[in-house]
Amino acid sequence: MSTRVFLVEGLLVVGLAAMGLFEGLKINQNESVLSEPVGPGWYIISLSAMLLICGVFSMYSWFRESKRACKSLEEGVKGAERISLSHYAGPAVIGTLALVAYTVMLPIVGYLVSTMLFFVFSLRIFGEKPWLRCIVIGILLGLAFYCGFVVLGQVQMP
Amino acid sequence: MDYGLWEGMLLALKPVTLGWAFIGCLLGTVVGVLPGLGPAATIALLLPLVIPLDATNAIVCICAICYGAMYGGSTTSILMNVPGEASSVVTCLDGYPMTKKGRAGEALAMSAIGSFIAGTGGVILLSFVALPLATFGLMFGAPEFFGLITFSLSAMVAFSGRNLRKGLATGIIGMLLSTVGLDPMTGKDRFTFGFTGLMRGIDVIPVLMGLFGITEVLSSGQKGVLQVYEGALGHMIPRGKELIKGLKASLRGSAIGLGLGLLPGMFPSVVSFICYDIERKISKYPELFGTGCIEGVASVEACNNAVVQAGIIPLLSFGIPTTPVYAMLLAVFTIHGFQPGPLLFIKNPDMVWTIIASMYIGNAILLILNLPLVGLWARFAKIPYRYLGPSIIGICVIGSYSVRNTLFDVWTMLIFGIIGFIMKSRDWPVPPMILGFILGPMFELYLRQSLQMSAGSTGIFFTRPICLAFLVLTVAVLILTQTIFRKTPKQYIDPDAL
Repeated sequence: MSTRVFLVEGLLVVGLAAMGLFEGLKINQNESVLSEPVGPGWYIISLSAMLLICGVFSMYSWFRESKRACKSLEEGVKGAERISLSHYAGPAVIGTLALVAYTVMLPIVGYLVSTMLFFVFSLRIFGEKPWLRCIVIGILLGLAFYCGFVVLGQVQMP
Repeated sequence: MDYGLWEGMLLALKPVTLGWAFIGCLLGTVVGVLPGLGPAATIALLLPLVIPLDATNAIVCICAICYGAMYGGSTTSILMNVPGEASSVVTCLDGYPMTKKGRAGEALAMSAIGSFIAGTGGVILLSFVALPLATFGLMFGAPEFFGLITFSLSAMVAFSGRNLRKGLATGIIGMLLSTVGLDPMTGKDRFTFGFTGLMRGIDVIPVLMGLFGITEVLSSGQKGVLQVYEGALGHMIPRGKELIKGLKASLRGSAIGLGLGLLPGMFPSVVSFICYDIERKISKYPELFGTGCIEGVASVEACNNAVVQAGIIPLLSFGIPTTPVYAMLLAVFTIHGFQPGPLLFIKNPDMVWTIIASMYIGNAILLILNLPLVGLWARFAKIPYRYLGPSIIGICVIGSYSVRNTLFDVWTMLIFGIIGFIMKSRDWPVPPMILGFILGPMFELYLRQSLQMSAGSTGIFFTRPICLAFLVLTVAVLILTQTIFRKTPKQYIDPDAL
């Protein structure tokens, strides 16, 4: 499990670097080089090359660490680390989904209604217990935000 | 009209400006008291509300939030052994033991007095040093500014903590993100993938909202209510020898903070640990440190505030931020159409001196305001996170949407919030990304201009003495920060600190 997570991280960094290299080369091919001595895409190419080096070094060192960790596990050494991602799930994932739903609803039902709904559900996610309390506080909080920012603060919202 | 500190003081005492300094101090103190919500996150959340203000008032308010947060963070450190800010961690070491001995009032008072002394020292330093530095900066061309930005970017390494590879990677990713949109020289699109929304580039405010606000809420959802100290505060002012010891320690802490705070990447938690270590080593009774020693509180709190004060000198004089908070201040200047640096002193001396004077006034406000209200501030920490979290998200959504009245920015905020949460979970530091994102455009501009001047030769950076000096300083600071970090205990190196 730990090797896979580190590998994914390393591949992401290398992937971003590759995207940057591709974009930089594309710019240099398309642009006239008269304006700059080495082409306008070289800045992106340079940054991406440095990122690629960081990514490759990271993958190598993480791979080395994970081999060591696996070897410790095989030898039954106490305290050998297994990194589990399961403790990152739960409230954070639900919170993220609530945020996505809020953003999708904003232009559909408007700021006031979507904000009230969001506050009701997020209070529940954060641990407020009776649903009635979540609904009452969520509606009041949504109204307070609407009055404070949209009405008094003149902030334009959907 | 010639402007100086006196003229700045008169402008800073105008009711509107004074009012915004007061509001900033209040907000900063409240935020400082709330564990988990730091000055950087607060400034990110308040940016959309502060930006419509006049530039001077916006900067005054944000500066007040910074040093207000420093003081607020010490309140919970002293009363509850819970640091309100990353920089207040060291205050817990002697602050809370003083509370347990019934000397909470003395600890809080010494914290406020020490902060005021540091603030005064900072303003004096600023008054004498900022203008000569700015005058020196008038000699700068594109290569010199490139050297200066590189010096500032060296903070990326410091903000990586002990994970250099990850910090450099996130910093470079931040710089690449800043290239999204139109090339400043050729006008051609970069990394837009055909989306018109990306042609305008990625705005800094949704990024900050996401990386600080949303990330913080997603990471902190499990927080409960803290127990507030309900016991007696004891004497509110230290007396006799204790007061003298505290004052001397405050002066030492101020000197250390002002000196090291000028360097990029010297965030308060590390500098305050250095200060505490020095104070313990020079003390006649080092064994008393950790048991409720007033020097341990006074020097650290003075040092914290001094670092904040010192950090604004490079920003005002050269236009380079040394921490992500000052990078956000730079963004506020830019949004209002001002470029901090040498020319700001010439073109807008009234603004500069008003900001400098308001920092002094703000510290005085904190001293007068906070001691009588310390009980109230401590109670703010009792607000359950289940109310605070959704409110922070609500503010982030409003703040992101109001920038350009487009949902694209709200989605940007959300995506960066998720990215920030994953980064935090996987121990990838966020501040280097912020620094790279904000400084990236300037770095690119001065680099490309310099290379155009030299027809592509990089020798220009080594033949111009000022540029070469900055590059040498960059290497020196990198070595210094890594040496310091190796000696600093891991819990004081918080890459997500101020």
